[in-house]
Amino acid sequence: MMHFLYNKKNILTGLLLVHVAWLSFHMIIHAKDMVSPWRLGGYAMYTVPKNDSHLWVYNLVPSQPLPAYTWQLAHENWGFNFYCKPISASSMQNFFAANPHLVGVDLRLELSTRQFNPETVQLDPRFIGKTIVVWEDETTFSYSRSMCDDRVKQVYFD
Amino acid sequence: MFVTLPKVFPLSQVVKMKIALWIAMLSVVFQMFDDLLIPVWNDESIAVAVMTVAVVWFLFPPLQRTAVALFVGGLLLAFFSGWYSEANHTWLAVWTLAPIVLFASWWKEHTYLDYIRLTLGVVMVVAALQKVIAGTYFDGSYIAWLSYYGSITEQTFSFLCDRSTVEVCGWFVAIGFVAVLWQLVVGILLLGNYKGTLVYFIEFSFLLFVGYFANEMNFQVLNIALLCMAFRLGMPFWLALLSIVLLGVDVIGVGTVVMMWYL
Repeated sequence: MMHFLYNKKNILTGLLLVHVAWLSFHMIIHAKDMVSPWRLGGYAMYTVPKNDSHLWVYNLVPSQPLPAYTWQLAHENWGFNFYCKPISASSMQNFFAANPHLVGVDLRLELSTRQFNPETVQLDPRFIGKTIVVWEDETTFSYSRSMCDDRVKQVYFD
Repeated sequence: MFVTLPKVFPLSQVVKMKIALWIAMLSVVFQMFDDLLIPVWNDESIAVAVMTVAVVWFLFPPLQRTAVALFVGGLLLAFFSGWYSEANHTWLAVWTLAPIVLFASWWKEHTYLDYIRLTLGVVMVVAALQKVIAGTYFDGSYIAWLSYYGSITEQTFSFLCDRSTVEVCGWFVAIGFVAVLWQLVVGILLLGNYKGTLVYFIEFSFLLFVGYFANEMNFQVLNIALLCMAFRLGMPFWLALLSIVLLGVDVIGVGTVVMMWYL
């Protein structure tokens, strides 16, 4: 293996193959609408209008938007550019560390974007997935994730 | 009787190749320069500061190898600290410029220069295929959207159809077809290592037109600089000057410059 790397031509050939593999992967998940076409080095930008995803934080009951610092959560979940990547447990813990006013509050985190509709030539709102957070006691919370599950139904919340 | 004017700045091939690399590096710094404007130091802003220093160092010949290594270090730091949100510009820069540290005299290394050409060819073909998969060029819907909602340059073709409403007309479908085909041809020409004046015209005109139309010259300047390296042409002084102007235009916005021109 190391001998292979002594040859610079082999290294560049390997890089080119890795690049082609990554591009093929991006094309597949882009075709399945599971990734932001503008990101992740797949060169699918300018196929649709730019449509970054956004995370909304709601009170669970009653449903109302809450102010929250979400940059860290986005950073730890790859900017939500892989639409179906579930939110990780550690990032949830860090989310509450950065938002102490939300500790003990049951939440619904909703990830949405805007999707280009070629028939109407408009950008429609698109629900990607949600995470429900329920506090068991003062220090423990559980959360359920459903990313991408409801995409086809296009469920909207008030 | 006739006075033969001396060539302004007669540059050797090696110098032209180095200018092309310098312009490529400069385009990356311009792309990420806004990271330096935030009031806190993080991995990205440190990386851009490092790359900026490297671009300046590169102007001093004894420091050029160090400058290239420093630049690649900064580029990789910027990339790995936020790869998921980096623009495709940065991804392309990483794939094409990072391996340069393997070669001391990269400008005469056919392996590396062919690698750049093949990478650009693959990227062009894939970008065209992504448009085919999306389907929004063949049905004209994306051109229609740009023509109605886009910037002033993206509305270049809006006069071809009814401007009062968002609608797809035959012209937008035709433009979508031409755009995808043009990009595909550029990619195939690169992969096939075709050369010549007509080939260069097809490739450079595509990049310049897309840069104007999409209101983004920065990415195209990177591509032009890489093409100059891949074809072993190097970058003549006039093209380097034009590239710097285009990078400045990109900061202001192509659309803003066009509006200033007409107002």
